[in-house]
Amino acid sequence: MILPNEVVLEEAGKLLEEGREVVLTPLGNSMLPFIHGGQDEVTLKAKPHVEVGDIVLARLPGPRYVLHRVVDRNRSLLTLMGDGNIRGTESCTRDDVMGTVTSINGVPPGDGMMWRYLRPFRRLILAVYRRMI
Amino acid sequence: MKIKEGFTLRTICGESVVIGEGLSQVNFNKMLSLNASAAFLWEKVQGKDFTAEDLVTLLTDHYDVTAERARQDIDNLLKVWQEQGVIE
Repeated sequence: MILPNEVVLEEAGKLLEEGREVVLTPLGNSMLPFIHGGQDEVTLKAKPHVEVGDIVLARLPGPRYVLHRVVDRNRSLLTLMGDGNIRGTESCTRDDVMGTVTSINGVPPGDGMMWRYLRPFRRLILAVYRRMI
Repeated sequence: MKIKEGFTLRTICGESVVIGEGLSQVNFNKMLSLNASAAFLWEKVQGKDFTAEDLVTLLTDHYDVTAERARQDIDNLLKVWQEQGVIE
């Protein structure tokens, strides 16, 4: 069955607050090439600290939910960006983070450092990758 | 037969939904939506051994439905539960 994304994510947020792990399949391709929307299964857990490189589920105003990578941190202010996005970032606070991805299809995620360095070439790499998948 | 361990009935946005839950993990990829009567039956038989006939009796006792219609509905319901792997 398919429930609206915001309903699932709101419920997931409550469970993460209770300290439980949540498994779900995110939609959208903003985290390519690491998370394939509608296919990959990610496991999330609320963690006490959020670091640059973490992939987090965050509640933004609206509310709108994103599962994006932390690309910058200035005290409690975080900047998020989808790995599959060429531009566009989101700002949120530590309190907006509902959980951190602890595995993608059972494998712990990397910190995406190499991918961040490749940002100037993302458009090209993603264009090639999208044709391959 | 019985409902497998690890599935919990929750109400999400007014809908009765069965979600696969371990002790610490909740899996939203293992979800099954139940209508009101299916949710009623789930709550009645969770944690117990039951037969299709038990479900028919529960349905006819609680709802204004003939035994024949109830049996058809239960057959369909058990088929779905079996396909979704929530009973054993």
